[in-house]
Amino acid sequence: MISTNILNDLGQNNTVETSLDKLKTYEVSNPLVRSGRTPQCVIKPKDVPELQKVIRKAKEGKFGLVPVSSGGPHTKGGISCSANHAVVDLADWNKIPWVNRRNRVCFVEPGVTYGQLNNFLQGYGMTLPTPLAPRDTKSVLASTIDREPHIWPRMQWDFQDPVACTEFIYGTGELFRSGAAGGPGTLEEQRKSKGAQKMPMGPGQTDFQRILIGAQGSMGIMTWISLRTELLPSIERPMLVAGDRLSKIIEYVYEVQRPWLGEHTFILNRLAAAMLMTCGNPGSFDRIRNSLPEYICMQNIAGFERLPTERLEYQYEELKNMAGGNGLKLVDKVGEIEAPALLKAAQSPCGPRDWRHVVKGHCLSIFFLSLLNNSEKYIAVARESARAFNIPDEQIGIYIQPVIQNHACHIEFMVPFNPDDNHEVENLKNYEADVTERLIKARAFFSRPYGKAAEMVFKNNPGNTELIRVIKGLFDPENILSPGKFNL
Amino acid sequence: MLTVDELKELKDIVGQEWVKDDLPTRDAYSIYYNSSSLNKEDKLWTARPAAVIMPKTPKEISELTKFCNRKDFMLKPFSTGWITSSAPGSRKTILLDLKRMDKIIDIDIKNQIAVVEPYVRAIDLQSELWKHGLNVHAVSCGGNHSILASTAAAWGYGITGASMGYQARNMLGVEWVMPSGEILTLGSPGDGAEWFSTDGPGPGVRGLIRGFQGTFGGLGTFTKVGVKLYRWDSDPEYEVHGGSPKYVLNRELPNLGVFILMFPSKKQITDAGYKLGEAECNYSDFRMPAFFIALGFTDNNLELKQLWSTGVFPKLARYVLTVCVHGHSKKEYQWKVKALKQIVKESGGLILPMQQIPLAAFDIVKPFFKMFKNPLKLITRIPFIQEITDMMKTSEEMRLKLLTTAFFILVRHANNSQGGFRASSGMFTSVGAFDTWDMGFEQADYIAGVKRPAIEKGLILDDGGDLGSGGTFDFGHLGYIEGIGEYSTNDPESRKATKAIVEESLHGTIERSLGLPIAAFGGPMNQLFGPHCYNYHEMIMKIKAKLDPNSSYDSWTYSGASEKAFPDEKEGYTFF
Ligand SMILES: Cc1cc2nc3c(=O)[nH]c(=O)nc-3n(C[C@H](O)[C@H](O)[C@H](O)COP(=O)(O)OP(=O)(O)OC[C@H]3O[C@@H](n4cnc5c(N)ncnc54)[C@H](O)[C@@H]3O)c2cc1C
Ligand SMILES: Cc1cc2nc3c(=O)[nH]c(=O)nc-3n(C[C@H](O)[C@H](O)[C@H](O)COP(=O)(O)OP(=O)(O)OC[C@H]3O[C@@H](n4cnc5c(N)ncnc54)[C@H](O)[C@@H]3O)c2cc1C
Repeated sequence: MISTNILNDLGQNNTVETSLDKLKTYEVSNPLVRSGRTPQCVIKPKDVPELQKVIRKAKEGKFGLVPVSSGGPHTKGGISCSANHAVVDLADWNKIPWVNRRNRVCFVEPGVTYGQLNNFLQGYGMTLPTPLAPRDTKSVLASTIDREPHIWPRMQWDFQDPVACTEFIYGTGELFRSGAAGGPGTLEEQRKSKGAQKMPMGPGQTDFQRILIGAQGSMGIMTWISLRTELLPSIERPMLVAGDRLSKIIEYVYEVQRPWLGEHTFILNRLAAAMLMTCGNPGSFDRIRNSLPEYICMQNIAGFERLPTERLEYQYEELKNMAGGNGLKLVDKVGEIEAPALLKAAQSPCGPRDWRHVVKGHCLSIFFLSLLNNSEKYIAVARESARAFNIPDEQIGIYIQPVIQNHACHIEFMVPFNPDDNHEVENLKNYEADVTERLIKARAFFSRPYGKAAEMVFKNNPGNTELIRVIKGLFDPENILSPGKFNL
Repeated sequence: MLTVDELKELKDIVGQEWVKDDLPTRDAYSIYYNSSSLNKEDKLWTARPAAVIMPKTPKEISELTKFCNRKDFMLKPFSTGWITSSAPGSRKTILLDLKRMDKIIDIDIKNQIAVVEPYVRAIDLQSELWKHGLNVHAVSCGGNHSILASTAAAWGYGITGASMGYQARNMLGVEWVMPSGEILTLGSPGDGAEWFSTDGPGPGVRGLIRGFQGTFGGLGTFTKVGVKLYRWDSDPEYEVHGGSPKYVLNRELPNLGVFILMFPSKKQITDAGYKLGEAECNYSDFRMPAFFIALGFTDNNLELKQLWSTGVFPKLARYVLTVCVHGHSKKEYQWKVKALKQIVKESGGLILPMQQIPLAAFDIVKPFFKMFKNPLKLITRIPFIQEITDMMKTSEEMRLKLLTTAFFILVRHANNSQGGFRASSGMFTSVGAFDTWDMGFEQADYIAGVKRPAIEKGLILDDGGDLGSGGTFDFGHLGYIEGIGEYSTNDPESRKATKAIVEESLHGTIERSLGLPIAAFGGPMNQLFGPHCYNYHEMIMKIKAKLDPNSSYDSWTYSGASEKAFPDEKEGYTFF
């Protein structure tokens, strides 16, 4: 229990919620995830010094803190905590304090969402690559510091992109700034010297923010980040390639990505594509799905500020030839899906709920990293395991997302389910355990481990896990931030 | 001194012939380029290492590390030893020269990833990669450096960064002999997968071992690294004629062009740099200071002196950006060249014809340049000046000659950066913080001012002051310029002046908020900068104490002089 004294003290300058109804909204709404405890309270700190105070009080009162930046529903389990804890909700910190077109950069606070940010950036002729159809309340900060993939792989050199610099608070309550923002000088002084807080490493010989990225709130609480933004296309011609043979599409994607051709790209199987396209209108789900071949790949082509039409034209020619060379066709429409509509759906907030959840109420998502040419191998693994649980192939959605300029790829399997059907839930729990184990055996890399993967993956490389423990001891020695995360 | 028993123990680990404790060998490893910058007394010699060992496997390194955990000795690994941070910090340091670990372990052509050992040099890897239509980012000390070191252990700035990024960000997995002796692989290969990520599962623990700078051998030895590769859509090989030191390409390479862009002002060169990045025209780029251009135009120092003294270069070539444009296809190449030309025109710049200009020509234009403060500003206002310039042609050989010079700098890292300080016996560097292209020029201007008094007194070479060298990264997202200078390594006064310049620049970058300079690593530097940067240095000390409680690795370049070092070895220095 958190003492009334502490709650009263924190309540003086900050909003502190304790009503059970409110607290319940911070529970993980996913029957497949081992549920953590309901938070004792939700604290919405007024500003950074108050947040530092919250951390100091947590130390004093011996309770944990789980930072939250997105609005609910929370389904992945990232904010699940089995210790006595309070939630620190930063979703109301939703300012975009600075933007700079010349250096293609902007600052966001934790609560800024993709819709909000991209509307704002449009006014500057810029955009931030989005994950595949983020839900309305998804925090840009939370998503990018979780290495969630986005759909414009050409613009991602390194896994930490698009995060540039950060401000964060250690578990000790100390404030830190990483990357170029780390100094010397204040942000304003740096900007006077024409710095723009874009360099993501350091300060110095350590890459501080790398350690918070992917840490699921266990190493520090970020109060803002700067982001590398991209030019908004001035003209676009979204196209599709599609077919029943994934291998051909994969060959095509390799050919296109190697020389940095084209823009947004991702591969969906027909189930996933239909789910994405119908999340606002589930009634058309069957019709759309049945109209599609097995796989469909987005291929956006664009021009920017410089010679846009000519750029689009030469790229179109090259891409058309590359599609043809792989026995594919670059087309505007596949079945019931028009390319511009798919691109729009992929880049727009999908609504209050994750688009994966619309068909049946919920969805099991299993995702990991590998190389693009391993995709078919992992699809076979997922299907083979599914057979043992009577899950037919056509009920498995597939999303393949090249990342870091197609030097790796995010592979995601999704199985929609009805959360009220206990039998189905039980079956999927077992499937998740089985398929995750098989995937790990087949060398899938669960770089962002959630669900069953989070329970299994840290056994693979004990030295690395030990190192995470060492770092936890340095960044959060009192174990205040997301206690229990990764069994720390 | 290692005892006979200790030597035997070491020899048992790596084999008799790979442990060197004879004086000549140890002395050969105690002198480095600019090593006099490492001590207050201006001594050329560093501490003499206790021994030099050349291990072959991670397992051997692990055993050597365990030895140092038990004994009063430390290890200091290096891959090529090119840079002075490879020097031993103590007489108790055993150097690990990793040149026997020289294998390209794998090239995954499809996924554009190489896995290499420490002594694979950039030039070796690039030669191999071009055969497969691939390329690697090489830092601009030249093709002689270790790709593993630039990826995992030390800096990562280079001319191909325009499209291939900073080398620390190209790391896709790393194998590490930790200070405990444990061998740990980080990222995807550590979990049994292929080499494609150093981050995860969960937190990016690689943040401990690789920041903007690296750990410079102060926190274990890296034995393998996965490297992100990039496309190469030109010929796999090229032929040259001529002879050392000037080879000339027999012909141009397809889909590849180099351009020398001249601008009358800082505003114009920076504008153009950003726009070229946005249009993705620059496969590689380099802000080439005027003095280096003069150097590139000449074959020897006498010519250089004559050319430089015409006074034409500081006015004509103050703001030059050399750019390599590389297209995937002919069509793409043409689009990029068109975009580049448009950008140069709208920024008020001029593309120099790709012609080695006869040196006599500079004597002819000298009076005109004397008359005006910024003659290039006037020249660029002449109607159709670019078209007129484009018509200037001498011979095919003169064209190929200049093209080759630019090609070897911008694309093929066949020369090392020593070529850049042919005019003196030594070079120093300063500032060089990484952030924006604009900030690069602020640093260049600042350091030019700091250098000026020493130039006027004749203490360092008169390079015009602004020898700011650098470029853009990730298609204009990032940028940097470092402030180079040339001095005489043989002249104590010149060395002293250089030290003073670098020292002043360290404090100046703090006062002016010009970012964390290249030299900000190691004990004294981190102590200086840490308090201005959220005390980052304290975390370094904590990491070192936690991971290396027995000081098994010499940490003068990381957390500061090691516990084991002798008292006289714990003093400050100014690294340049
Ligand atoms: C980072 C770095 C690392 C290095 N590592 C090593 C190393 O490991 N081992 C090593 O041995 N060296 C090393 N060097 C030193 C370098 O290799 C030497 O400078 C080189 O051996 C000399 O050749 P050079 O082409 O640089 O000669 P230059 O610099 O051109 O000349 C060297 C000297 O000889 C004089 N000279 C040149 N030509 C003539 C001539 N025709 N007649 C009379 N005098 C002449 C010059 O005036 C000058 O004083 C290193 C240098 C650097 C910058
Ligand atoms: C004249 C000159 C110009 C330079 N220009 C640039 C430049 O433009 N951009 C740039 O980024 N750098 C530059 N450098 C610095 C440096 O050479 C590079 O950063 C290079 O990438 C490092 O490779 P190396 O072969 O020089 O490494 P080494 O000399 O072998 O080592 C560099 C450092 O890394 C450590 N190290 C090396 N191998 C290992 C290992 N296996 N495990 C642990 N630690 C290791 C060493 O202890 C040393 O401190 C320059 C250096 C010189 C001398």
